[in-house]
Amino acid sequence: MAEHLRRRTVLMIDDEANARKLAKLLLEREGYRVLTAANGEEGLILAKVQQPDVVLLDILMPKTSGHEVLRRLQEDQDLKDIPVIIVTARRGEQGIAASFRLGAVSHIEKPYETKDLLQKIQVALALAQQEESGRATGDA
Amino acid sequence: MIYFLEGLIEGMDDGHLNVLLIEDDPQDAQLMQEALGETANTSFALEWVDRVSKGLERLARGGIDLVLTDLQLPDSQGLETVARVHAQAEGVPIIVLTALDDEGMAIQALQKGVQDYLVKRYIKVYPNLLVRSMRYAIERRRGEGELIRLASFLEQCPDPVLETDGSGVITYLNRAARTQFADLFGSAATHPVLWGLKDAAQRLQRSGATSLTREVPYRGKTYEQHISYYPQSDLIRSYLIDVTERKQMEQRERELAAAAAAAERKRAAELDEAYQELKRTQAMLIQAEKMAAVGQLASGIAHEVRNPLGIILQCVNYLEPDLQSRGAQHAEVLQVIREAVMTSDKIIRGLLDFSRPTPLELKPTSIASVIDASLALVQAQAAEKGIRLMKDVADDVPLVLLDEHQMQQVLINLILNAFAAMPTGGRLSIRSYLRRLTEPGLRIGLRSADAFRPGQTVLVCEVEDTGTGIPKEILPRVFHPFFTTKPPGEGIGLGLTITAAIVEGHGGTISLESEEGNGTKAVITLPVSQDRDRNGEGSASR
Repeated sequence: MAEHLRRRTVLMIDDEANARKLAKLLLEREGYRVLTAANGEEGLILAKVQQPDVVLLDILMPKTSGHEVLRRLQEDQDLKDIPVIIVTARRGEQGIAASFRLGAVSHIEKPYETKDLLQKIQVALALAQQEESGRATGDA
Repeated sequence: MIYFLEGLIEGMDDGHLNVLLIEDDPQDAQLMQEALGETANTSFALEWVDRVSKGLERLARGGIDLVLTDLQLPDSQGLETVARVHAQAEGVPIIVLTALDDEGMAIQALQKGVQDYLVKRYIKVYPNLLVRSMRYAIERRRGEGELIRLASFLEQCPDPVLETDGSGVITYLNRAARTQFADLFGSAATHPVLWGLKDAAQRLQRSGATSLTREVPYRGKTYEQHISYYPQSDLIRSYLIDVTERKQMEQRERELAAAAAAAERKRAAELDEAYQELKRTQAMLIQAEKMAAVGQLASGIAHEVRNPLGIILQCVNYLEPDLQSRGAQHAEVLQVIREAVMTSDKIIRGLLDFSRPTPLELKPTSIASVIDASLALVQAQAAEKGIRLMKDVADDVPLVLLDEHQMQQVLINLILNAFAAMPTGGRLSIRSYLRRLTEPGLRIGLRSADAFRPGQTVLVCEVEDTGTGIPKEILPRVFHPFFTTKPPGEGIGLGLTITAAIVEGHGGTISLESEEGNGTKAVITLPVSQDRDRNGEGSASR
């Protein structure tokens, strides 16, 4: 039961250096451990190695797109249960729908207020924990 | 005439003139023969008979050009001789030979048509006298014939010729005039060919012209009347030509030319219409291309701008706890930054929404409720600006298929534009009513590109202000994307473009009527359902 007491790890995958820097500053101030990756490949490696509690994923990135990262996270048995929040500058129903179809749990549009992001992270973490305990109960 | 006589004399010089001499006295006959023989340049063939009866026989055979005859002959005396010869050979000149004491009789003979008389004794003295007399006799005879011939020429001319004296009394009509204008006699000066002749003569005299021509309609025909005036004899002569056929032909030609010109004009109009259509299509294509460009630009910009906006906002978020504790002013500055970010983002979102329009959710909706909802939202702002709001929705306005929210956005856009045009207050009126379209107009016509057909009933919604109006030169551009009159930073010129896109999405049209200084009226026209349209006959009212 020490699980909920440990520092939660957030992995942010965003090609924008300043966005990563600010997210790190803000989330660390709120008590999170923050990992950042500048592209999809780097993010996937970090996720595999570090097993973050939540992933903040940009969609529009060069080379490996956010959707591709999302798809590969879902394919990986070790990573598929990590909740992913899409953080994007794009707008439009279709992009959001695609994100949810690929397994994202939440979605936020840039520019956003930090408190809104924090709220979404908390909800995502709570949901993930619920599911995990559900699975644990089922296993027992 | 002179020329003709000259020719005649010449002919006589060359030719052989057969002269018949009727003379019972052989001495006198001898005298004549001698007189003729002395004339070198003229060849006369003289045939002599001593009785009238013989002369008449000879004349009957023909070929005699002239008769010389004594009056007193054994078988005929005096004027009887002349009469008998004349009767046998009409047209052959006769010269009478007389004794000195016979002159009275000779003069009587002249009156009977004899050409000349000669006293035998004088011929003895002046032989040339005979030849000269014969020559003149022949000339005169032929001259008379020519005059008659010329007179008959005029008489037989197929075109009417008429002559009047200066007061308009007819002095001559040829046969054609008599037959074609049989009513000329007794119709006085009111007959079409006589009417105004006196005036014409006076005009001719004044102008010094020799003739004038006028057109005379007569019993379904048209004549060209050439009028001449002869002041010395005070005679007016007219020569008329029947030009009915020519006039009809000219009329037909004129009609054909007019028809050709009309066809040409029609073709030109069609060509012009096609050109205008092409220009409209071109304008629409340019507009569509602009829209597509806006869309592309928007999605490109969105990512590039919203990322830094996000970073700025997060910077604000990061600094907030520290700066808030350092005083209200710091907090206020942060708030200004935040608002600037939000405004920028709103513009970006507007662009995005415009380039990817949200589908319409059409439901039967009361336009009155949309108007009420829109007015409610702007009421506070109107009060603040000193603007009175007026609403007038006709009773017979039916429910129409609308996306309530998007139509509300349309009305609010128009209302806010109107407010901006009334900085010192004024009146804003929203009206809605049914109208039956009677004639083609803006996008009202039979082309497939037209939204409406004449005869259709439509719902009209007007937003009218008493503001500054829109200058004529910019009115055509107000719907163009990125066209704005607002200072930089206060609008990007998509408001009316989005408004028009929404209205057109509803199958409607929007137009602006404006006069600088006299306010602006936005007119939205929306289709009403077909059932309503059919039953709505005559219900168009305000």
